[in-house]
Amino acid sequence: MKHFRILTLLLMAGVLYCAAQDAVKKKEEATAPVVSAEMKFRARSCAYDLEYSVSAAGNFKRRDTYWEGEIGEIDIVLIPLQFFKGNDYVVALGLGTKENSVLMSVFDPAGKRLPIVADEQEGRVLLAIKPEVSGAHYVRLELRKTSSVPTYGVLTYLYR
Amino acid sequence: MRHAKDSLFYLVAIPLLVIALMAVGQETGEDTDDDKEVRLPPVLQDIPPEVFAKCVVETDLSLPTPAEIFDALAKQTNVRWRSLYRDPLTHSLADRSKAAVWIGTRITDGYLAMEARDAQHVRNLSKDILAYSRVLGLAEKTEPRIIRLDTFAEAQSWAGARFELEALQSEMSLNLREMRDKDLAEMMLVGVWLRALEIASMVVDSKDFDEMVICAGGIRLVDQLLDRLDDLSENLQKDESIEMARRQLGRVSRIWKAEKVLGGRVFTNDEVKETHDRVTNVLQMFLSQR
Repeated sequence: MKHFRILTLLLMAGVLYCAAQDAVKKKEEATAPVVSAEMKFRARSCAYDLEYSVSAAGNFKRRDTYWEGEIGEIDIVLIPLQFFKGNDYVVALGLGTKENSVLMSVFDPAGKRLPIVADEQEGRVLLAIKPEVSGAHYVRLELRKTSSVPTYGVLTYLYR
Repeated sequence: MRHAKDSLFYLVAIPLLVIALMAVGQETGEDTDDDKEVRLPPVLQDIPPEVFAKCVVETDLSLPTPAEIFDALAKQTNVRWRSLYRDPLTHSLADRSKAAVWIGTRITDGYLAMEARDAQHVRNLSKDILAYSRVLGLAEKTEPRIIRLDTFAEAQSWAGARFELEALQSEMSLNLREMRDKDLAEMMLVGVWLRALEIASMVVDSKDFDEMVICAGGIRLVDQLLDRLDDLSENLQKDESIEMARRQLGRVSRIWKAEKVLGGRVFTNDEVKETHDRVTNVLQMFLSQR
């Protein structure tokens, strides 16, 4: 009976230890940066490559500025961009990961989703837009349902 | 006695064991729950306002360049860009915030000269920008970019020249912020857009446009300018010209917001003319000798 009691105590101690270890690990994971420097570098170089190739191939003019940031599991990112009717726009997004885990869509000032021509390859997305009205359009970035790993994105646009 | 002790032990030990097992289950089970989370539907209107505000990221990218509005204007009408040139100032601007506004207007005039494919005018403007950047203490930092801009213009490489001009503006803005002159950076940007709206409203005023709001650069743009004015330091806020600019631009914003409220309202040249007059008044006030 005494041995059985010791065994029970050992088992309890073991389970409690595992629970504590697991909690510490979770806490560490939560505080550690999800986005590495390598991911940022990859996203930036992807965006620059895209920008140069679109500008060279389609006579598009580049902007000298970018948005960059994390695209997380729960939060979506909405970037307001001022588009003018009559111009053609290409929105270019470079990602920090090779797989294409981000869904990008564009909405007009009234909140209507725009028909877009998308070109998606490994970790990069291009959208061609022809706005029907001038005003603030919203580019919406969110992780695909199939992906739960946050990534890093660098976005810019070109116009002609 | 011994049985009682055993019973007490198990009475405490078993619930503790159950609690510990539940704790482990909860820690490991967190991941499986995930995608039932708040993934929002794809239509923008369905985002609750409080979530919407949290998701919106304002960036420098949110403010377009004057070249974009000029491109859009050129697609709707045949614009005689050279007729829109502005003469150099006949007086000097010792006030640094006025000099910043003037540099802003000259940057926009640079885009205008590029639309006209006028390399000589680009060179004249870059000289003017360089001269006034001395007033702001930026001449040394600005010069290399000005040289590149002139080189692109001389080679008639307009895409490159436009890119250099935007880069010049970003660089000057960054340098001013680094020198703790955030106000001057904002004033330069205000100058860029006041001049762009002055030009746009001049072009729209003289033609039939199906989308007249373009003369105000879209509703949001004027509000962005008003936000910039609100961000100025307290000292500058007290300035008479800032007060006046806020009043005039506030009125312009209200004119074009009416389109949103009334939905599909057709504007006349009167609204465009009013926009032009108010923007021109603000510019004149900023660049006056006083």
